[in-house]
Amino acid sequence: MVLTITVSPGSGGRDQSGAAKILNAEQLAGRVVFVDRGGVPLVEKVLAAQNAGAVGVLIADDGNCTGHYECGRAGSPRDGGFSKRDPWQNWRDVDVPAMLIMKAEADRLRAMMRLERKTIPGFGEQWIDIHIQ
Amino acid sequence: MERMLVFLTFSAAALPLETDLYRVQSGPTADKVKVLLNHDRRPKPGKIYGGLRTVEFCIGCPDPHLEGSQIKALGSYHGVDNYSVTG
Repeated sequence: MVLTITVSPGSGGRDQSGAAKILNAEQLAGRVVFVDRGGVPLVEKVLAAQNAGAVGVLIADDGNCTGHYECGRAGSPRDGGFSKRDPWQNWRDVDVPAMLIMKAEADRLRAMMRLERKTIPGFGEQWIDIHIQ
Repeated sequence: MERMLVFLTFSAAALPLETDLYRVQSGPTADKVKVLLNHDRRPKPGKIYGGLRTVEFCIGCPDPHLEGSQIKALGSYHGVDNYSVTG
């Protein structure tokens, strides 16, 4: 699994939301990609990762989902998944699986990857692999 | 109490290059985490929460399905129905 690292539109900062140009696109080929929720519609994140060669996308919720995947307008298990309200045409080019995971589970995965949030001058807050610092 | 002022300065040379930054972030530990996304959308009797999927993952193991942990995830309503990918 690999993180996306992107340039956020407008801010000049970088984050892992997949909301803009992916800086490490060459690292995504053949990998399941881990992205943060927010910034742009979920389908755009999935398509951006897919276009970079990802085989699957895990989207980390930002804390908006409550209970057992009750994610408001994004969807719920009873809806049959997230982004049910999207026009199907938006998803017709998607051919990789995408899943949304709760923030607690995302934090667990980040801990496995030994990622910590750090501020880097000039680049804003980043998830950093503390293993190689 | 004696006050101590600490000035942190960053020179341009100390800033990481763009390429250095993403090499740091996708380091060796992250690469060792393996994830399996597997699903087929055949209906199952009595299944209520049709949007839930299972993610299997492990660190430093060859097959998340055999040795990994499982968490529930919310699948996408649209998109592919049947898949099994590891990465």
